[in-house]
Amino acid sequence: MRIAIRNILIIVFLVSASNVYAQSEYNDSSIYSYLGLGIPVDNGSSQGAGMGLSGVSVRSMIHGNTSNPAMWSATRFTLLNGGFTVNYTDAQDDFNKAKSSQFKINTFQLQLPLMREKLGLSVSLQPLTESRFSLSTNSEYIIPGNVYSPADTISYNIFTRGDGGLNKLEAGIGYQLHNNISVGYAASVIFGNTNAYRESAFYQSGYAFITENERSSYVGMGNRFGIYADYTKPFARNDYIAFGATLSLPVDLTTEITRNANYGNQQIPLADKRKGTSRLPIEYNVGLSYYANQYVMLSTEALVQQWSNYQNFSGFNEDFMKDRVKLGFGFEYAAIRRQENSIFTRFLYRGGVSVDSGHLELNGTEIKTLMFSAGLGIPSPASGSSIDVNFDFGIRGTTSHELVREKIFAVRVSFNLSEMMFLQRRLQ
Amino acid sequence: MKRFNRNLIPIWGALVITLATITACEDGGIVGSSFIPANPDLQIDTVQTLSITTEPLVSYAGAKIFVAAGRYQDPLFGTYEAVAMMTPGFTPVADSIADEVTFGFTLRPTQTYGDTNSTTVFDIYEIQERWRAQEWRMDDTPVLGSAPIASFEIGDTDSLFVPLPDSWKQRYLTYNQLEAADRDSAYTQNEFGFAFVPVSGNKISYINFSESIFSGVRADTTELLGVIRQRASNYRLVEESSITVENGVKIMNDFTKTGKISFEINEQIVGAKFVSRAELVFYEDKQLLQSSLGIGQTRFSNQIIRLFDLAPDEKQYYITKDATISAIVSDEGAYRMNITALVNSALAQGGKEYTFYIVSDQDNGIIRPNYLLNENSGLRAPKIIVTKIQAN
Repeated sequence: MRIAIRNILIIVFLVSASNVYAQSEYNDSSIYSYLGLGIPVDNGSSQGAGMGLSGVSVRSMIHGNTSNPAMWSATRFTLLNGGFTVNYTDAQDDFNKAKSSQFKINTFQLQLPLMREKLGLSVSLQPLTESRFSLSTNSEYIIPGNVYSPADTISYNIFTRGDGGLNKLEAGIGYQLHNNISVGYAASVIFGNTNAYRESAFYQSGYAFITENERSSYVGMGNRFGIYADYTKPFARNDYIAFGATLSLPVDLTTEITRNANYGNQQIPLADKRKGTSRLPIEYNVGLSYYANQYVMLSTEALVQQWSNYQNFSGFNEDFMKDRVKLGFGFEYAAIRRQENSIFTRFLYRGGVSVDSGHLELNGTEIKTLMFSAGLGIPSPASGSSIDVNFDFGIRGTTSHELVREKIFAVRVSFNLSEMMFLQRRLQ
Repeated sequence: MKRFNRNLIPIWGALVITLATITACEDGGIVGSSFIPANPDLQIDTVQTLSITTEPLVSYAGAKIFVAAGRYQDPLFGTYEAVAMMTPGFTPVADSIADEVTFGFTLRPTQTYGDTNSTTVFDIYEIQERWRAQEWRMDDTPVLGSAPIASFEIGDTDSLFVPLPDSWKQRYLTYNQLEAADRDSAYTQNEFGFAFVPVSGNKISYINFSESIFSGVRADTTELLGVIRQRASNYRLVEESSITVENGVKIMNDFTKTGKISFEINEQIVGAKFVSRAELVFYEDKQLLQSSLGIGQTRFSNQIIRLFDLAPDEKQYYITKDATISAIVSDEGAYRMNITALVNSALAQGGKEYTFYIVSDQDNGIIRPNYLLNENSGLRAPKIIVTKIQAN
């Protein structure tokens, strides 16, 4: 445990030092996050992330997993996990290119065994959607002249940017109904803000620099159900197969919108505060995992979010939203279970690919994402703790139909700390 | 205790280098402008046409940087006559050199209002009553002696010495004989200075006080420096112009004819909750101002206009505070005053009314009338123009 903590501190220190470059910029994630509530963020286990999956059917004793409440029933150790992601996005449309990088904190989760491997509790805080974009436009206005004054040209820039997103504070339990079947339930508070700014600046002196700001705040209650089942020796003597599924019910979000302009030290209200209700759509997530032997595991998943039923602040569906379907396939090779002692056998290796239809349809085109993932599990030699380092490379969108193609490269570092808390040690 | 796992060092190193590399990349560009809704358009609107009225305010003509002297028949604004008033201070003179000294004023007429080719002749009168430059109002009149004691001319020059007569010198030297403690008070009690009254000529010279002195001049060219203790002008419009200007309003720089403009700012008038720029624009009739001058004639000006925001009680006293807004005239004769902060402040407060008092130039002793075009002057009427970018 100490070594794991030391490794974590080293990583945090080094990453903090290297990340200074990114702090001064707006750290865009995707121009598509301008729309709706932003880009959905998929959460789950760091083990699943290395395979491009959420891990809804991937059970682990040493990895926390927020993807399926039913998994929490099998909690043996107290698990604490969290981490961060560094994203790099290279965006391009028919006319321009833009690059950005972003540092963000991932899910934090505490998973406790209330009844060891029978009843488990999870408390987590995780991002649900993310909005972070910027757009700069230069324009000119020609003032026509007359007999008393010559024509003039005013050059100005409008910089639009946004940030924010929804977060989920969730608590739930998982219970093992039967040796091979577990169920779970989680209640959550979903909250967050999105801010959209528009700054107008002129290239001539004597013009005011004014920022318009629209802030939307959301809060609502969510409910999620999960089931997990496994079956041993379906095809061979030492294999088994696991099934997991979750259902997240729609969430009504109480929404408040305020609009202000800022000029110098003055804040000018642009509209009265408005209240309404937005609705997050229902979500299904289904997965199947096959453990061929003690080394090899294959897993596949299907995630469906009915964004076509999303309701905006005014209670209307958005034309540009559609149902999102994400299909993924991945594998894990647990080399650490091999008897040989080499650098190769110190890790777990993961890989996967996912195809995401996206939740947006713009100019008659789906904003799809193809993502390749690779992961390295680094278990602590002294305890059940581990660090997972995952790499993603993907392409979102297209440059056709006046859209934007984004190449995404991400590094995700997750810490999984496990400890026998609250249990009396009988042997030293 | 377990040792740090050295086998993992290459992994950590590679990870940190990777993170450092990708976080260092940042190149803000423009993508996605085609599917994000267009920005609101910039609009430039004239939101109000204004009317200028005039009002006389309290005005003083003493202790200014310039002292006006002369007479000019301005075809557009009428005939102005300016009497310069100066009181020399007392400077003790050694008896041994008193006979060799000629006392007088070294004047620096650096600016001209009128015909630059004209020569103005002045009679010098002694002022018979005590006066104080700091309290010298525009409508005060000096009490002069019955006859001039000397005369001089201001021609095409920016420096001249005006000698005072020997009779005055002998009286001046009598103060030299008094006890040192009594000299200044006795001199101040009895000597009130001189007035330079124009007799002929067609120009008003602005004598730069900071460069002018009272002095005693000796034949060997050494000079006894003295001081001009106080100065003022007594000027007035002695004859109105025969030219009538339609849609214009005459204003002065000395508050004797102060322009007044009132307007309200609110969201309905402006059509927005904030503006990127707001301009208050006045026009002078530049073509008329220039064409009305004869050959060689000029109206010295600092080319500015000043607006004051005055509380009612401030109008009862001579205005010494700084102008709230000022602007320099453009080649087209426009004075464009940036009132963006004022308009946005009014909009933030839900609306506000403003009144400004307008003077035509600096109140520094020059005489500078101006014609501002008024509300019926079409494109050149006084107005407020706003530039705004705002979504609905």
